[in-house]
Amino acid sequence: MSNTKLLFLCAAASITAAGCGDDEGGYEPTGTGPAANVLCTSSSMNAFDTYGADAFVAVNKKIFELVTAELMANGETNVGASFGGVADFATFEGRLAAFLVFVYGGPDSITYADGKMYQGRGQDMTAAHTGMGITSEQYDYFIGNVVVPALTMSGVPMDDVSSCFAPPVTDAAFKASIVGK
Amino acid sequence: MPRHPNLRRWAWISAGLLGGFIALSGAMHLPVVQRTMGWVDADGQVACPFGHGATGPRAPRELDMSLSTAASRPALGFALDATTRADLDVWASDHGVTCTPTPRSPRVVTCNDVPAAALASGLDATAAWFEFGDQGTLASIKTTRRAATSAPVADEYRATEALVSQSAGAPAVARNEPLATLDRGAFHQAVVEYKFRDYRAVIRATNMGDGFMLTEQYASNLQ
Repeated sequence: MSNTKLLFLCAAASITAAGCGDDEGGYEPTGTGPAANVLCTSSSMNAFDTYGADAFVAVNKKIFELVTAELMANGETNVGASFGGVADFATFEGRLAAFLVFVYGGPDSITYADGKMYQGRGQDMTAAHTGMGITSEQYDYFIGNVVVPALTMSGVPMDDVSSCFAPPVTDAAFKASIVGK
Repeated sequence: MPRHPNLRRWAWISAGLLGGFIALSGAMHLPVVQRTMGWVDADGQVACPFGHGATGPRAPRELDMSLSTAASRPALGFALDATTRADLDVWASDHGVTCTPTPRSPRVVTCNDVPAAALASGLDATAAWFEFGDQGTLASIKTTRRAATSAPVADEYRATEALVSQSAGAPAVARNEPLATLDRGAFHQAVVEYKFRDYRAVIRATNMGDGFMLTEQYASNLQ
């Protein structure tokens, strides 16, 4: 094959690849979590890449603020034993933030607001909730009265809440890993 | 020959008693012993039988004096700060509802599969939680209700909002627009929130992805 032909083929391949990249494959999610390829309506990127680590920390803190209000008023009834029986709330907060970041397409681990590093990948929800006896109604209540308000109060538009935040949480297998253990 | 035989004997007896007391105290603080003996605190956790480390009655909620008091305090037919556990048992019996103490939260009674009529409403409740305060009277009620389609949940939301607004007064927050678009996607949610000095209530209609949910909270601020 002559050098001219080779050059032509290389150029054609480059143009084709670039063209494909612009149309379909230009977006590379930061992470590989379960919802890494679930895209937000507003950005056509996943939730982490759309909102960033600071927003995830803000939502996580709002979750804990709402949970604390629930615990003050109702013991652990309406949020299940997963929050009520926690001895080290600060570590739990960091671990939840890391888990959310990983699930929604962020990195495997994060440095949380307390300056400590937490691992999101590899957290086993079934093991973490075994023995807590969380009911389906408690799970539903938690989603409706803590998770959704935490997102909307943090300024996430409803269409993004629906398109890229809801799917992992409404997934039947995910719910089954937490309820009735 | 010992010089003070009585003193030595009493020293041994005292040491024995002290050792026995320490051992007994230690054993009484082992969770397995406390669980076996049924020594639990108000939250259902194993506890020192002498009350060491126990939490006292809850501090009364600080009232927000900038808020007005509610004209009345609707709570699904129950009377906040008046209904007792015995009243709840009668209600449960009358309506064939099964209610049980909530593990780890003995102040809270959980009732499952509550028929709509028992709550003077139009939608069955999958769960209702009744919390009783230090005086043994009703402090709050929370419910979850489910429907496969949005219409029953939206209808119940509107009816409840109208009732509470009429009875208690105007809501502090009302984000009702999503009610018309609940079908648009998971987690679309309408919310109306009432804040009074002596009463608070929150009603939410939520698309849960696998159905629609109405949650209600009615609570006294007086305990």
